[in-house]
Amino acid sequence: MSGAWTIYRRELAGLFFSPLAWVLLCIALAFNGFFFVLSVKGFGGDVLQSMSFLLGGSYTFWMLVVLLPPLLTMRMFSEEARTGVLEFLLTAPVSDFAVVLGKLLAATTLLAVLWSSAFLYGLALAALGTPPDWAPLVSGVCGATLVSALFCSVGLAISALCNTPLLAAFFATIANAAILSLPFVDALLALPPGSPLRVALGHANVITQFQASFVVGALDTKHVLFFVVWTGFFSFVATRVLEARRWW
Amino acid sequence: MVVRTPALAGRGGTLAWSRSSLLLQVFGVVGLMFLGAVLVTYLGTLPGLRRRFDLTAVGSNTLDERLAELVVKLPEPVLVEVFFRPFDYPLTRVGAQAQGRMSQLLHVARNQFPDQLKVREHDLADVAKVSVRMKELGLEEDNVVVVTRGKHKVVLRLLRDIARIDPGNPLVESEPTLEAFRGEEALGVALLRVSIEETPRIVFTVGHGERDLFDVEKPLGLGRLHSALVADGLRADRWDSSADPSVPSDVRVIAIVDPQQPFSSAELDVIERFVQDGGRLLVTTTGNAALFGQPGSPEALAARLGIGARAGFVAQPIPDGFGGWRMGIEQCGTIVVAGAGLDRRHPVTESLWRADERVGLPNARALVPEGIRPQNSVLVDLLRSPEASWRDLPQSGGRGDWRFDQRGEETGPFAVAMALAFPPVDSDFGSDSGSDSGSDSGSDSPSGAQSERRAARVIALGASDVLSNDILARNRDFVMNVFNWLAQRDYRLVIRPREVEQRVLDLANTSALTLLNVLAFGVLPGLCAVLGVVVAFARRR
Amino acid sequence: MITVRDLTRRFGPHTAIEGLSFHLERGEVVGFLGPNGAGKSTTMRILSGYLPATSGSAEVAGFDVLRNSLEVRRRIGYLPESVPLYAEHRVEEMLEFQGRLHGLSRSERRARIPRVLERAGIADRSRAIIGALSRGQRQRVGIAVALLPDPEVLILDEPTSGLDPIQRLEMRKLLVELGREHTVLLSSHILPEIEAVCPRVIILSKGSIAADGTQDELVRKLGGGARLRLEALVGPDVATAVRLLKALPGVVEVRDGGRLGIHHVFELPCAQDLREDVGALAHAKRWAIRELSWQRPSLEQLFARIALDLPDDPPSTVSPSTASRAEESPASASRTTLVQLDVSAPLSTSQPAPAAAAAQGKIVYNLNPFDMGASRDLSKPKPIDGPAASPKEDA
Repeated sequence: MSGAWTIYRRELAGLFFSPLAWVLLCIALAFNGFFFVLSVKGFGGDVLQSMSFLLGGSYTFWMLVVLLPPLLTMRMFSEEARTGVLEFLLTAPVSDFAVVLGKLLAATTLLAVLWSSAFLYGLALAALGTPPDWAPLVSGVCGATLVSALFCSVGLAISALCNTPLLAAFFATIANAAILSLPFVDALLALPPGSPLRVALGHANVITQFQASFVVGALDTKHVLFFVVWTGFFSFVATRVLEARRWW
Repeated sequence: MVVRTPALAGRGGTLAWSRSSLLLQVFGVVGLMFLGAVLVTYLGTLPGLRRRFDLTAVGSNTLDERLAELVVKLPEPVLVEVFFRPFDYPLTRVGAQAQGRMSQLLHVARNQFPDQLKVREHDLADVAKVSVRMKELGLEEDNVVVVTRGKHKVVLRLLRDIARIDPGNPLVESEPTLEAFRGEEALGVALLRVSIEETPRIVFTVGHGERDLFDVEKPLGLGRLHSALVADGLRADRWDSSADPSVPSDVRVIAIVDPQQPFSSAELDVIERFVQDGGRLLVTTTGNAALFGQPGSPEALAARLGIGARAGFVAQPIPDGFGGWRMGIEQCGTIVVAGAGLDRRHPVTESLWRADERVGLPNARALVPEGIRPQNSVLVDLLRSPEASWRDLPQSGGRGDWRFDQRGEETGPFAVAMALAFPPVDSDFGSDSGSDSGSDSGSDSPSGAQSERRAARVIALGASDVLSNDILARNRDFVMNVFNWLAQRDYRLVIRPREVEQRVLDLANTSALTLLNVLAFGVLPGLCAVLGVVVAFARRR
Repeated sequence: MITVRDLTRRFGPHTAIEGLSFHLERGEVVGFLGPNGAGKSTTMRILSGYLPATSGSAEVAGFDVLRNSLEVRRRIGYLPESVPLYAEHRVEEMLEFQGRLHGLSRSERRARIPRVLERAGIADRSRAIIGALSRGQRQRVGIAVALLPDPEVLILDEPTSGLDPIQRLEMRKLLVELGREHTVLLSSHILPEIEAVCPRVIILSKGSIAADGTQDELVRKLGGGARLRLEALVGPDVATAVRLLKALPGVVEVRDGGRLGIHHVFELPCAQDLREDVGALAHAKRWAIRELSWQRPSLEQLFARIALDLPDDPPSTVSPSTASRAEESPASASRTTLVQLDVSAPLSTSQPAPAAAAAQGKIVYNLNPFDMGASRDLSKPKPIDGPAASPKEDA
């Protein structure tokens, strides 16, 4: 897996050397900050509520989670396939999965940087005399990172499928939104209570999985497993798609 | 490594594939992986393989240990239904607070035990749907939490069982505040109740002019008591002791409420034998002055168990609103027992004492230990009249004058309700005694060995009117506790109320907001912009 | 070092290569020649582990490219045609990355990076952002990247494309140097490179090997086209001259090229250089020689012939030697695998008539009314004295 680590370092450098990452970070932070200050005012200064609002408790958070990963991952395969760098990577002595993993980790790291801005807000609040509850803050950041990883893996799979970054970003955004809205399918289909599909859809509810544990500061193996497993699954799909580029 | 699919790996050197065959294989592999992921996700939800860690400072994501233990022991999943609706002024705010805390508690409970607890929050705006469900559950009010398991159900009322509200004082514009939140306890007790299979049977004796169990009209009827018992998961009906000399085998509690005619001594023997064998008895004094203390009277029955009743009614002075006290009026005949008057350890009164509840008893007679009590018995004064009370002895007309007469009249406090518990005399009895699992009832049981068998329990009430339609509402908690203790359902849970952790930034402090604004809008995005420019400059082509 | 057996790769209905087989010994430098679309890149991609073959097998350094792909990838330095480099990185960062990918230790990287930069002749731009480099510089960086892990096998896909002539010369020098230490497989459609660098050439055409062998072998085997040209004043008795020429040892046949002005042209297909013998004959017979030259087809001509599917001999003359070559080919195939001649298929079987006709029509054209039937190949520069001299001689 040293290959994955090497790829990861390269991708991270590539991300941070490109203006896109900084522009995204800048916009996302301003967006996040705006809603954070708004929530502090809205909750009458309740620090704990504002913190959970910032990390997973609000629609703005989910908007960022749906929109940012595709923008980060869109270029990772489609652009490289166009410039031919992919040929270099795929003939380097690393496995395809290491390539996917490295890229996934890089995109996730950038988003983790974004989410850990919450620590700075926390520090500011602590400086103002109302320290937040740090443990849920940590779990919130970790959870946000896990969610980001999930959506990044989806983005990677789609980026490997598409030939232009724009298309990749578009389809990945749609896919992410679709994953988030899976639970609503059950309302849409008016499934009878207790039907297996409905139960399955209930388990596929990303938002409640996230809010039930990371947001409130409880670490639940079930929810961690959920995100890890599905991130793994989509990474696997991305690897297969990448591989399909060889023989298609 | 490149393609792990069998068609490529096999056949020693030569290989052959077409795109469609590979595509099929890839789809197959991806499908398998999908199923695998689903399987792992499913396995992750299994209770045995699942761990949950609460990271919060005050453990706000974890149920109290004892409550959690109760949930774990539930025999089957329990449905918790929430019917909350905003309160009207002035309770709007405090009501919302209580609802919020209860919802949060249920949320935590559901997250911690998703397999055991199903929580359904009904939207009361959806009137049609909700009213159907409320009718099914036999609810008459909203703002309740209903815990159901099969046919067992417990209704928790928000402002009574779950939260206590200090009404405040509208005159000085002090808003109502949440005095105590006991959601954990209420939930715990409800879970205990529904998790126990049986519905104990209580019989009220008839045939001696007792109060009518099914009379909901007359002020002194017991109709409301009956419905309260049924709602609480008890079974209550009549038993004519004169017509049916033996106690039905499934009877747990015999209640004798205000008989006007004497019992035959044979009947009393049967009842006494029932108690000695570990039966339960609620006996109130008779309101019939002629019968009082005579053979065949309830007092005579109580006396057999070592509890005596004194003539006259306990009275207390009434504050006149000017700092003084009034005597000689009818209201003096209703004593109010609160605080120190409540036994703080007995299951019946303990929760009342903690919640600072009051019990009002009209026409109460003083009870005293008298005669020989059964072996190893424990006698507790449940209710004691205030210090200032006195025993108002009847004048010539049969009623008292509600004035303290220094000559001949004693001052309080007097016991007006007593609880007696003792191990059954016949130790062969009590094969069906496993029902008190989960509760820490046997606390007043003298020895640990006896808790295996069901102990006899007797409550003597000096005031039968406490149970009547008229004033049951005021004393409901006390009365229900009495019956639940007798029916061995005295689940006492002492659960520390959840701390509400609040860290509130003072919004009046404008510099604080400014700092936040600067950080959120200025520093962080600005930093990124600057770093972006620096990187772009450093790595320009 | 590289063994390819019966390699076939199809892209859907399109067949990129079919039934490719060849073998490279350690230390060999082999050039892949072929027109665009002949399957050079596809073959190299299969060898580099980028593409799986549809059928057949390929081994590099003893490892199957499919089953031991990672082992193979560790042992080759592959430079794709597109020269894939991360444009946003510095040259040295790119090399660092490649070093890490190949698991080189920090000290190894520190030692090797300056060395490969030096070898690739790009040491002075090591801090430059790759995106800012010219095409030629990038090509060098690509070579440096491929060289960094010190691979046993170098696979270079068109390493000189997009370079200016001077860079090309330098690159050629570099390739020659590399050939001393590595097994090199390089492809190009620029022939001088291959001619200058690769002792052995594999010519691909339409997805299969058209020719494989050292340059000399190829020329000899394929070319039959070596011939001696004599343009002389032989007098009226041309038949005698033909007979005399034919009598010379080593001459198989003599073709009468007809009169060119007052001179007569003869062509003598022959394997050896017989100029001295012919010269002596002419001297003895007092023929006035205007031209006596021995021509050997270059690789380029061979390539062009294969690429254009032209017949192997000049179209103006009949080709009597076909039969003899056909006899020869099985013999060569039964020899070592080092020299494989598979010339029969594309050269003799497919001779599209239109192409031949077009070539014929293009090459021979009567221009000058005073030329008396002399014809000139228009694609070649006009002889300086040609048109001016012939009327004089006529007069």
